[in-house]
Amino acid sequence: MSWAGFDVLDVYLGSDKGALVRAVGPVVWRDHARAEVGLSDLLKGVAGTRRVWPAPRVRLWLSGGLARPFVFEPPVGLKNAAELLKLARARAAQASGLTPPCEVCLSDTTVGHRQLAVALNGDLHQALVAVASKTGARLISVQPWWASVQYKVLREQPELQALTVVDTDSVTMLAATQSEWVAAQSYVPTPEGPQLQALVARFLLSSNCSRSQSARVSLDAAAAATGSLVWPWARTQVDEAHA
Amino acid sequence: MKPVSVNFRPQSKPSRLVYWLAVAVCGLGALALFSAWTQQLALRSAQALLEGAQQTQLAAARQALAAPAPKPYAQSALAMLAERELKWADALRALEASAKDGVTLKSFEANAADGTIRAELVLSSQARIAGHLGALSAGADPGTGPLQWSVQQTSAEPSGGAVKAVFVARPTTGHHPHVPTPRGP
Repeated sequence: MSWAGFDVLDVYLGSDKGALVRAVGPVVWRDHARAEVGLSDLLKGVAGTRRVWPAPRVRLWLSGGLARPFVFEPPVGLKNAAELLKLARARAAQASGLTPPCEVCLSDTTVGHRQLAVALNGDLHQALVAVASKTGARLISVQPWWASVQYKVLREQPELQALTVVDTDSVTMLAATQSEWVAAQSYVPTPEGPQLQALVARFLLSSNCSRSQSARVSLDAAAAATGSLVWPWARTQVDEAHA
Repeated sequence: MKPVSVNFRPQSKPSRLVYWLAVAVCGLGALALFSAWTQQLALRSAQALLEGAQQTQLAAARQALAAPAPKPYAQSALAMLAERELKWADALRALEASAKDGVTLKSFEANAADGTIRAELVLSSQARIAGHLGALSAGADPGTGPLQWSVQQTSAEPSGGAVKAVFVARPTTGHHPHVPTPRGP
């Protein structure tokens, strides 16, 4: 039984649906009203109500609607990374559109230049940690799903300047040069068809990025249901028309 | 574009077991330190006692070295040397020179402690005592000769008018017998 062993469980969590992927077996999708409830349902659906030993390790992937990026440009005069993080937390709600308080992670703690910050609602963060602790799971990572997509696309296209990631509840767009971040934004809910095309076009124009150096990746729930590929890359599909 | 590497993983807090283990380790450490401290105190006390005893023994040994006990037979040897330093020859020569009829030598003994020679004579009459004293002292200048004779005691003998007299010869001033003093080791 994989739950009682030393496997790592991958859990994708969006605003309204989530998925649990094990090394063996089909991907389990569940709808939920709140993210923490969805995480609890996903974990209990596999483990039951009793705690097991050793504690299962869980990688939690958050959608762009939950973990939203924004470009943070710190003012001159900050002394250290602690002050940088404190200021980023203060600006996170306004920059990302999340309800305060916000938990913030910075992609780089070097003081003095623009960098990418990722905001997560603080109450949701505590609730997710509490649910994992209650169900006996050990969170080994809590990361944005779009960040893992970006990592994979960058390996294939190192010269990439703009990336659009569409997941279950949002569309996340990132733009950067080789040296610094230009723009980062999550849009909730995901625009439909032509609206998404127009949004991407506007984003590329405002970021001064060419379409040839951009990519768009979408989460494919149907492909995930087959379980034939490896998480999380298998759940992505490059928009051929866009590419 | 750089890869985004962020993680909202909560910082793991140490469990209660780890907390109590830390408390136990700290307690054991404190106990070990206290035990080491008390052992150190006891060791220092024992060391002080040992040093005190050593100092006492050392002082006794120093005293023993400063005033060494006389060697065996030292007193006897000193007494023998003192007797040898007496004026035996002068005394015997005086007695031989003064020998006359009616004078009988009864005993002759030397006292090394005070350097005197004691001769007990029996004379035929009381009146001869003074003459015999002069005969003993004859041949030597009074005060400068080796011996100074004197009569210490007289008593009448039961038979006839004989008299027993004890003559004592003392070395004169400047002729003290040489008695060696014991030397240290």
